[in-house]
Amino acid sequence: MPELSDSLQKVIAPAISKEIANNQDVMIDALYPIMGGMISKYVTQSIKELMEQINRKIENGLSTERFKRKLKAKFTGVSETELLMEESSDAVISALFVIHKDTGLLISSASMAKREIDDPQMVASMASAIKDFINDWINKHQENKEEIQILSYGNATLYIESAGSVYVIAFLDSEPDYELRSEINRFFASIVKQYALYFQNFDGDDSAPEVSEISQKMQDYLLLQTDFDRSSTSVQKHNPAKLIFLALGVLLLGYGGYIANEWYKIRILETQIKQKTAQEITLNAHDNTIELNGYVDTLKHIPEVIDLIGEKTGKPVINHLILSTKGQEYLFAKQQKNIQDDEQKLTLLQKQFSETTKPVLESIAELQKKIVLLEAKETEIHHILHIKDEIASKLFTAMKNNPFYNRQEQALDFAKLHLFSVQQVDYNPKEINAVKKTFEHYLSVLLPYRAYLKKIIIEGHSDSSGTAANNMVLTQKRADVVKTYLLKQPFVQKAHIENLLESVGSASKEIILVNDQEDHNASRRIMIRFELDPDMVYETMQKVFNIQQKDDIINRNGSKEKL
Amino acid sequence: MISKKIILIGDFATGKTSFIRRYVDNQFSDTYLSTIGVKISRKNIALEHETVQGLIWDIEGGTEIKPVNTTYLTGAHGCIIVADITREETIEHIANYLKTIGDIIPSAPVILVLNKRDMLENITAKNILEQVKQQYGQTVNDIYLGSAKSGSGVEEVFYTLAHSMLT
Repeated sequence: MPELSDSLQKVIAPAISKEIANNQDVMIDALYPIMGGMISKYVTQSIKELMEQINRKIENGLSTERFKRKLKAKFTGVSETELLMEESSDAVISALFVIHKDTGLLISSASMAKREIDDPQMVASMASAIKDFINDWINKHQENKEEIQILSYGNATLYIESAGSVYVIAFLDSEPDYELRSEINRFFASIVKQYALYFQNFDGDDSAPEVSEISQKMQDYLLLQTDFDRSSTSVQKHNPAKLIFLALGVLLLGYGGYIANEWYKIRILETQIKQKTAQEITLNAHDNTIELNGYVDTLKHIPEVIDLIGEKTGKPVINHLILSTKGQEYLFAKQQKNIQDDEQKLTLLQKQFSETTKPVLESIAELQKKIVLLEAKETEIHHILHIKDEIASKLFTAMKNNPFYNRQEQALDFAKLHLFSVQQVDYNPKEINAVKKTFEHYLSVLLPYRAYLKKIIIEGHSDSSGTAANNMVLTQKRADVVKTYLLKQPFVQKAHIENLLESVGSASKEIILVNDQEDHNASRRIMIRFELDPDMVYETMQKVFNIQQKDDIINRNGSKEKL
Repeated sequence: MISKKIILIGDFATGKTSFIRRYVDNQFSDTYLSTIGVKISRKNIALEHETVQGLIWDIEGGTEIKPVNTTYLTGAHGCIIVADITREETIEHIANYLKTIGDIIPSAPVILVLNKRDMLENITAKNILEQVKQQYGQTVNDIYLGSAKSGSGVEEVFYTLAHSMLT
């Protein structure tokens, strides 16, 4: 691969030497797709080294350093090129870490005097996390499985080289050139070769003898590097570390001044608060907040203090003040008194409330009683007013299948019986039994309403033959004989309805027509109907109203007594 | 001294960073700051006869859109899964994390923490703990109720894990 690199460099370098100074990225982009990642890497490296050489030549072309180097080459016999190479290797390794790849735990470390790294274990873990993150990202976005090798920030550079179960991190003050990287790799390879088994079985225990052995080897390696630097003919450039420290010093000085100023402001504020509140309150300034600390006797000044701090600093306040025992006792006593006062007020209010509501509740109870009474009366009135409908409904239910029941007139009509012969008073004994049974049924429905019944009428009817006078007499007699028959029946006697039964002759007023022709047999018949007593209904209604009036009188008197 | 890599994983905003902060610095803040990538802390865990240096990796919480970066799990000696006891879905996702751990670091002991117990009544928190124990009790080394806010259970979790890592 170096041969390829050299060949390419010979061909490409003269042609592009004028262009690459300003278009390095373009060159890489153009070459990469054609030559592939591996070749691109070496070409990039070659171009970079060529760039470095050209830059140095430009920098030193007319400098006194060039004349010094020429003189040194004359006296020492070392070629100017070799001296130039030595000058290029100016990156200094300040520390070496060997880190377990899987766990990110530090196995061993070494660092140059005065360049020790604080908390190397944490640094190793963080470097491991960063490396994992970048490798993961690279492998997600590239087909080639490659690992990050250089991490650089300002003049600080981390060179990472992996092998098996460990990797080494070299901390440098500038990016290492190819030779230095190769040198580190050779050293690292010797370590890995010697301690491979230990690395594979590393369990986090840093007390093993191998750890101190590796550390010593790395320390020796760093010392050798320092010796080489001292004995080398390298040009003493401005030390970047010194510059960093200088810059850091200036920054720290400025920061210190800022902190001191802030501290002074806070102390002044504390004094002002003390003057206002007579309380010892300590202020701790944080980046975005001011924290209140200390003991206070009272909390009443807190809003005032918060306003003052807000006005002076513009920062929100975190209150960590603690109320002193004295203050707590005072507050406790105050709150206890408040509670007692509130209890008294509450008791008073409860008393007032119950006194105010008592008559209202009593009135409500009375009204409720009245409503119940009125509802009962309403039901009764409704019942009275609709008593005829009620009887009709019950008759229909009881007798809807009876052929002699006339629903429209709520009456019994025996037209379908051949009860009487022409001009005959006496009934047909074969048919009278049907009258008895039907009437018994009819009466059983009427009896519960007996109080409202005025009479039960037995109507005698004739056909249209004969004179009206004769028919009147005839039908009266027919009604009479049926009445006499019924009065003899035990169910009638048991019901004591003698005074209710009334016989009436209707002559031929209600003959039966079939297809506009009189059915003489049917016309000669008996009908039985009931009649309600309107006086009884009226009397009952009045009775209900009278009771109501009486109740009203009682209520009025009762109210008067209470008042 | 023996050093061990400990990882904390779980859904976002379950309180992993607060849990570590309570353990390492004994501090707590209600302010929520999302962890990006990973944050590493260190604390020595004192056991009866020895001390373990815990390198605690606080890994960015997983979401449905952006799952946990499993690269950081590699080589961990112990694992703490943190769920938010007030968010049922974070408890449901424990199974996913256990699967990931089983794939990458099968021999690492696992402790399950139901964080933010201070936000629930004791009886409610204990009921949830019992349910979680029934579900995962056989799979993990131990299950704790914890509160980064009050500090409850924090020391015990790391102590138990350190003990498990050495046995």
